[in-house]
Amino acid sequence: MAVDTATAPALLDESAVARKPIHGWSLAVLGALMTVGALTQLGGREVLFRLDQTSPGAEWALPASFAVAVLGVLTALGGALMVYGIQRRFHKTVLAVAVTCFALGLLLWAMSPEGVVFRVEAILAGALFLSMPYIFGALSGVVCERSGVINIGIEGQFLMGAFSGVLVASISGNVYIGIVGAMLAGSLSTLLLALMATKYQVNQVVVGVILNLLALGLTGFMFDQLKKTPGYNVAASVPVLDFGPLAEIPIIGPTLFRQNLFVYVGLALVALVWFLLFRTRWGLRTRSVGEHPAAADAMGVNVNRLRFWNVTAAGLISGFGGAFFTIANSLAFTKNMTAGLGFVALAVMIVGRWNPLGVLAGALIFGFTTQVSRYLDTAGNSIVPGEFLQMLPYAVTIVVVAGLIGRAKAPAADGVPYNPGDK
Amino acid sequence: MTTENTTATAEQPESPEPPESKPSFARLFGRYLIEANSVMVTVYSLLLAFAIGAVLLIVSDEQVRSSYGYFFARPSDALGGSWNLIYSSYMDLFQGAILNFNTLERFQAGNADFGDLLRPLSETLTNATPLIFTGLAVGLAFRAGLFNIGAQGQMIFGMLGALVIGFSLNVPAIVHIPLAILAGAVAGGLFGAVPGVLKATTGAHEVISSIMLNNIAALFLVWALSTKFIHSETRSELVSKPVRDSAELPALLGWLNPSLRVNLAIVVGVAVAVGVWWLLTKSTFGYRIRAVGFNGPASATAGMSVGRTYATTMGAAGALAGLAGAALALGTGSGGVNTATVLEYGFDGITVALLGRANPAGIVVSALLFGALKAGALSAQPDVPVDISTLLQATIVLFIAAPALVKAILRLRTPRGGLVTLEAKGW
Amino acid sequence: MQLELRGLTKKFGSFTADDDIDLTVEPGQIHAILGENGAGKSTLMNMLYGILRPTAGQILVDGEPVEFSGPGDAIAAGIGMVHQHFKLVGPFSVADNVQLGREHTRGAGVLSIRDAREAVREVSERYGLALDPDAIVENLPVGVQQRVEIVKALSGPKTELLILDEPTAVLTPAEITELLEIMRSLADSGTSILFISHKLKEVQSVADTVTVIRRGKVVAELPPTASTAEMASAMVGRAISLEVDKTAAEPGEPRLEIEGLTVVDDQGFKIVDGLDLTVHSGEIVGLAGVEGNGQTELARAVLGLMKPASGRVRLDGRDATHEPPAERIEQGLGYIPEDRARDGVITEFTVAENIILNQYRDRPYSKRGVVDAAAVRKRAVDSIAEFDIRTQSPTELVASLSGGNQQKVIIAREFSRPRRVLVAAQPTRGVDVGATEFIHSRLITERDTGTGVLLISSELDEIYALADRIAVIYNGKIVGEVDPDTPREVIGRLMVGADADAATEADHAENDGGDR
Repeated sequence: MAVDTATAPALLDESAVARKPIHGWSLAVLGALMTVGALTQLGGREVLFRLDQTSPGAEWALPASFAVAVLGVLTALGGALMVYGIQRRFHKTVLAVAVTCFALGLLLWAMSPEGVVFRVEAILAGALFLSMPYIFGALSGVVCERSGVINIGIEGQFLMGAFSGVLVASISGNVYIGIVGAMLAGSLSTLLLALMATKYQVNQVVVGVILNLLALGLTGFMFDQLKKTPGYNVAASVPVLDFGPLAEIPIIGPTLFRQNLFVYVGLALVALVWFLLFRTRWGLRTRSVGEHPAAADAMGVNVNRLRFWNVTAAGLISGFGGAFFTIANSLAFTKNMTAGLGFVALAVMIVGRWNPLGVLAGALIFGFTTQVSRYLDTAGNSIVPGEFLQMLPYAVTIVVVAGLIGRAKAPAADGVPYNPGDK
Repeated sequence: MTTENTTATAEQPESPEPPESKPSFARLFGRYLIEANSVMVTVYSLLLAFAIGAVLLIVSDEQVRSSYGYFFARPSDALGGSWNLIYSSYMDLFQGAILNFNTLERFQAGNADFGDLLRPLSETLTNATPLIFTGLAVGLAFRAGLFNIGAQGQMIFGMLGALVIGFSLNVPAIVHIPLAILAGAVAGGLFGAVPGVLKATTGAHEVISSIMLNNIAALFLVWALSTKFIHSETRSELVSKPVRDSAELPALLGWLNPSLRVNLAIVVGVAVAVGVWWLLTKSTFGYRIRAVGFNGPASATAGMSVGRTYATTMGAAGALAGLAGAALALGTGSGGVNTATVLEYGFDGITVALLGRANPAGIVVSALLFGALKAGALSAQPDVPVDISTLLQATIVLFIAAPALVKAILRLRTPRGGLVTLEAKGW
Repeated sequence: MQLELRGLTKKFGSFTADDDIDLTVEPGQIHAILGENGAGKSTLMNMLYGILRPTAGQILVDGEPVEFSGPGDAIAAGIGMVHQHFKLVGPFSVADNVQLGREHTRGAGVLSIRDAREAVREVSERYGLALDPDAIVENLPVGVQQRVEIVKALSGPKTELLILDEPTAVLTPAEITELLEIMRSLADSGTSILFISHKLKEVQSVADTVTVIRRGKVVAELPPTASTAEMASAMVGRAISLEVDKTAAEPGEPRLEIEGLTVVDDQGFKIVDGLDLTVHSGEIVGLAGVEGNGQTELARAVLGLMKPASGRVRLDGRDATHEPPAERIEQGLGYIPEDRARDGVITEFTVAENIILNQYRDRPYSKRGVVDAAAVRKRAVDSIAEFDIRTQSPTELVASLSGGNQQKVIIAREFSRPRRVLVAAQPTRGVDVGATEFIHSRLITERDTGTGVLLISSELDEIYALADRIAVIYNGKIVGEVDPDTPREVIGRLMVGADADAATEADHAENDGGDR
């Protein structure tokens, strides 16, 4: 039949040799600078790796100048390849390798000063722990945006969860009831978003921003009001689960088998949301509503009802993530303690391409970045002022959102209200 | 995302009114009051927000809450207590923002001068000043279809710019003040242009990039205040050098009473609002901003560069927010700024712009209203939590953004031409 | 299934879209509903499918009155619909699209991929509609996507009535022939079909009964043996001719030269692929082709909205490949975009503001960055008179104008400034007959004043009526440039990119389908 061959436009030849001069030159220059810097500045310094949780005394030293210089040369080489021209299909790989080399180089450089030790286990375990708010926030975002509703109010849900978690735990005296309270508080916030997005069809970004302000005002107000009487803002904590001998395995033991309860819930949630989205009826319908609501509607799926409940339920996840800030860290609530991490979670969702597994990968990268910057900040002796280290996750978010490392495609109907009357 | 759009919702206008012989003014007015037109939606949003605030005051107050425990035994305790709490809280806000009755009594008795009486109003105007600028910064970007929530960061850079010129130059006031203000605008503008340029070149959503830049700016401020160049020479806490006298904005009512802080910046603010109005309605730049904001693809088809419009509009918006920072550095913070000087004026700019429906006149009025709220909240703390101002503002604009919600709650009528609601578009 | 409509009426506010419609579809019958754009066909179908609720009247299935509160009810009653704009989820597989809304599960809501795949195979074998259940829909050609729509509609629990809403709009002539055959065989196997179209020849060739509606009312019930002239006059209400008076073209020097132009989309597909085309002054070149073969991207690249990956665009002899759109417009490029609402007008702006949209920075409309409101208004008043724009005042918002008058605003904008080249993409889409005639005559006048006109249209009739030369685009390439007296069949074959072999096949198919 003629039709089968009819309209399939020619794909650009992936094996064709092409150049990317802008990326290439920037990487080449950065790599060269790093190499020169390493050879002139880092002479004689060493990066110390230590496993002091499972095997005290195990320690390796890496000559900083040599290692950083090699990474710099690799970065520059990648850049040079892109300037010279390589097959199109290798572009992403080369770019990824070069960027990773550069980032590793920076990391080793930062770890090189005298007295700074790379405590491998503490840093890896901390990175996983710190990736949790990103996982919870981004999963909530995934559920909303896969249903076609933009949830820019994750930050607000975090605040609501963080505050309510402690409040309810303090009143009830039970930290688990507190966590349920946090989830409900997060859900209350997304309930408003869901109502605005489906029934009243208000611009979802605007509503999200307003909900953030509302959460900021509400938690700040209640915080001041309740601190007049003691007993409402008492730090509570959940246990760290220790898997005994498993936790004694070098490196992965402390990372995977001696973690806060939140870590296990977060990891389970990644698997659960992935399964629900891609293997169940609910998931099929949810994704169809986010991609092409009219198609779903034509097949009898009630688009706005599904969106409403999905968004409302997503608040349970981000509310849980809010409890991380207080309960998982055994802290009492303080004003604006989430510090914009809800927005970073949104970036994690984009890096993860709206897929729970991708979210896990993205969250780990961000968690690692956050952990390293905190570690260096407290380890002192850093070349860079602490404020600039703390800026790192925010700066990385901008880089991600700007698509400087490749662009992701959002669900087609993301943020577009559905009006069954329209065709 | 243009600010407003009249949408004929699914609800069709009710059956046409029977032809009446000239309805009386009272009837017409009465109907106006129960209609969800934009004026009445604004009024009802305010009332609803204050009602919600009242409920929150009650539930968060230990004593009043406990009186509800024995409500059926002695309802007067609960009801009276609630009323007293609401009355005194809102009265505190009023007295801090408009007129303090204690001062009035003392004034009548001759124990206070006229300046003392004006102090709450002066504080309202002082707090409204940065809000005018940040409200315009958000509002102008709105008209280009951009949601600038980066006013906070832009303001911080504006403050630093004005501060540096303010303490480092030694020139007469007539040169120094304009120069320092200009420095604030330029610093805020450059910082503000970043999300615009990113959106134009990479498509990065300005909401996320500008909120990240807010966080970066806040951290940058902490670092900058700690540097030798900016840190105060005489004080050990995290505070900057004071600006020179020649850079200080003159207080408007200082001759009446030196404690009246309202300064020249409010005059500049109103003038700038007029300028923004002119820009939007009369200039080709404003025409382009509005065209791009309403329909980017059609503007591009007509030969306009949408990307450049995003970048320049964000730059202009950043400059406006930078002026807010300059007003702080050279005005209320002229003795040295710290991290608290900026408060949340940048975030409040969002609510100001939404309440003012991105229209310069509306923004000035909203800024005055929220300035009063802020002044009231600042003076009423700690009896009333200071965050009540953020809470009330967010609640008000939540209703403003969803007139259908107000209409549903209060069972208002649909006005002719449909509800004016924020237009919904994807990103 | 027998379907009967009694007095079906739908009102939107004061506007009556469908007024007292009566009709009956007998089992195994193909019942065509013929009407112009905006006659109320789609509203009618949406009521039948439960998307819209009727204001008055009844729907009866096999004699029993039914009420649909949503598409789910219609599906349950045995009605399946193939929508004009496919309701397919692009990133989903064929099987997932077909099972959406009635999923195959292994209990507890867990999907059974195997069952879904089987179900698609079963239906596609039963009706002879070959489909790969695992193919991702957005990678399939349009004709195959439509097959997915049909299989989806037939996969209902007991689909006995199929509604096909303008199913041929996006198909190539060969795909149309195939579809008509499928419809025939479905009807022969007992499925009732409601076929909505405004294309007379298709209706004539396949329908058993024809109902003509105009302005929401049934105006005629005709047998398929009725002549096309009879159907056409019932459809539009008065004799119209698409013939346009024009003299022979007098082509002059080249005005628009496109050389080896390649445009790549963001997924790396070459949408325009090494295309060459020249338009001379004083001629209209009609670009014919099935939609989605690169016309949109070509037009955007000529204006400068899309950057070509390679190749050149010359305007008036100068190399304009790297000029921004504003520069090209300034130098005399006129442009009527195909998507009026998206690219043509700013509906929140007034008529006057829209008319100067691409000249707002020029004198006399502005001086030193300040808009001169009086000059803008004067220009608007003049244009409103000259182009017969029906508006209350120059300050009326364009949103409140009809589609035809919005298009006239664009015409007024493009035709009242000096220009050398005009690109007109689908210039009469969604425009009433009167406005179409007006726009056509303006395009001829335009040509006669020496402008080079590139007319992009998916309506072959429009191309025939206006073009002095016809270029056929297929898969981003010009596959043929022919005279306007070339027979339709030849152009039809070119439109599917037929080489010698496929051409014979297409000829064969056409003879079978009897689509003459």
